[in-house]
Amino acid sequence: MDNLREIIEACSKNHSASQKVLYERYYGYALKIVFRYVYRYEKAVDAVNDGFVKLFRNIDRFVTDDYEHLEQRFMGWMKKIMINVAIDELRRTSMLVEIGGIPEHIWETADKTLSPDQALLYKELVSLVKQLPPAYRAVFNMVVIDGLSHHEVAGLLDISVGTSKSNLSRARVLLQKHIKDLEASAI
Amino acid sequence: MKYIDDDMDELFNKAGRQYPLNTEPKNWDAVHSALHPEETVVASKKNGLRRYLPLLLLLLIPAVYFVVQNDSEVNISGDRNLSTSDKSVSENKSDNNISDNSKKLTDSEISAQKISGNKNNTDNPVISAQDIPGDKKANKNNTLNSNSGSVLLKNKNVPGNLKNSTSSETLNQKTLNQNISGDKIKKTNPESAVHNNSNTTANQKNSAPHLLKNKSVSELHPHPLTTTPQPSKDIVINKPLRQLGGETSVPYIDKKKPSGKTGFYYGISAAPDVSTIKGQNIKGTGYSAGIIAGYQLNLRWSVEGGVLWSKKSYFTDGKYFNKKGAGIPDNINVHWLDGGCNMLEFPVLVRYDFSPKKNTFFGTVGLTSYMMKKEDYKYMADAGVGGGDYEGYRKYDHSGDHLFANLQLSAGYKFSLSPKMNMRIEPYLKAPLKKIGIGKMPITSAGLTFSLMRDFR
Repeated sequence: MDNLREIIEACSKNHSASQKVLYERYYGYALKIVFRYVYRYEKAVDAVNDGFVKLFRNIDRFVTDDYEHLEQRFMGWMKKIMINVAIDELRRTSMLVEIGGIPEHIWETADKTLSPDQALLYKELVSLVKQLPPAYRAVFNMVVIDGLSHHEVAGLLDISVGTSKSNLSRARVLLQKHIKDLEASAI
Repeated sequence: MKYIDDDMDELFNKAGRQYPLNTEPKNWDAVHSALHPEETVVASKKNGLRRYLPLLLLLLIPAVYFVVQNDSEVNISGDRNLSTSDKSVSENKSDNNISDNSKKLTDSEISAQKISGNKNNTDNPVISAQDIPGDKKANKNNTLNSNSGSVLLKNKNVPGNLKNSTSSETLNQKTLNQNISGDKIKKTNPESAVHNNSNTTANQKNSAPHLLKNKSVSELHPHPLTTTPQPSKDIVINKPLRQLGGETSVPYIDKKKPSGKTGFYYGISAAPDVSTIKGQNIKGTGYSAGIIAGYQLNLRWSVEGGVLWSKKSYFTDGKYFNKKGAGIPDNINVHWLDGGCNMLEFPVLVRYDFSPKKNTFFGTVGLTSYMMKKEDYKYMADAGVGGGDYEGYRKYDHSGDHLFANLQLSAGYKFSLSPKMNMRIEPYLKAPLKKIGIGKMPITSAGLTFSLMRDFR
């Protein structure tokens, strides 16, 4: 990651080739964030692309002196942008519950970093999160997976902190219920 | 899955970050086009041009054809002009090919070749300088077949090969490039040879004085091509041509004028025409044909007008037909009307050439006036309560004149047929500014005009 700083600087000068490098490198990371929020894969892909456009247009706002942890800082900054575009997408659909199954082909099966059991488990868990109502799903994703505070969640979703906590609690209950149902069906 | 209950958040956190997701294919182009719209616009413009490329190529085919044809005309124009002026020409051709050394053209040869290629030089006796060295043996082969005293002698013998030049052929100028008549082979006396050489040099002097003035012919060949010295002392080259050949020598003047020069032009045009009233059905095809005259104001702008005889066919719902003007009683309800009209059109147009070149796209805008000569209609109508439908016929002569009744827009391509002639292909649209005809109908017309134009310039 030595050259990340140079890539970012080039991107801040609207250098197309560097933008492409950055896009290619972090597209998967960004899509994994957005797809947890946005139910439809195609919409998530579009939202990610929108997120990258915003990122490149505002990349000069990314300032850090901590070059040792540059990538972590940059990924954190990118995560916020992607969460924002995901929430925008949810708002665009008025936080309506979307129905329909998730096609199997969108799950990557050849991930060498995970054992097959782990991959299956993670896929099941994310599927459960995606089946939550959008309001619960958003809060659960932000707090539990993306590590935002309730204040930040309240600010982003334009809800109260109490609502955020309440939604998170209800999300947990629903997930536990789904997991028990899965256990029951497995038995 | 008991451990899920114990540390559910941590597990979901891991799952959310590490879950397997297919992240291919990436769509960088979408992001790129949003970030760099100017590049995308350029690309789309290129694509747009590419889209129209077949059409452009189709338009270019006749243009290229005529350009090539014009070029070939220019190349043979000297011969062609001689043909039309019915003057004889003698051309000596060596039976043997020119040796390698002789293939090197000297300045004088080039000059002479240029002269022979001058199509405006019909009255000018032109003699090739290729056998300028004046070896009489060689010049014996030259046949001067001059009916009118004007001679074009194109001797391709090269001095270095004179000994091999034992036969000659006389070409009648009318079939210069085709018929080589052995019957016309004549021996030429030395005087005529000198005469030829003199004419040649004089002509060269006229056409390229910087090359030939006051120089003997032998000096014109810096690299002697003959093995024997060439007598050149008897060749007078600084004599005026009229003294040598008895003909008036006209210096070469390029009469080709730039296409964009101001001046009048005229031509004929014809077009198939389709007409509609308020976008209703089109019934039949009409035509227009006539003459057009114009004046080129500058390289790009010109004004033009014309007189066209037009026949239009159209169909209309009865509601667009003015019964009052047509003399149809008010109680008659016209359902529809099918017919046409013959009329004189008087377009007044402004034309803009997109390029000052001879072959160019252009656009026109202007107004068209009509003189309605004849209208002929068939219509379906009913007479109101109790009456059934009936078919009626009406004819009207000289039903009215309509000044500036239509706005005419057109765009097309003009390509040159000859230096003074060009052809235009021009789709047009005539939009109604006024209602015309006995029935006061707004007639919209479109068509494709083919025009053959000639410059007065």
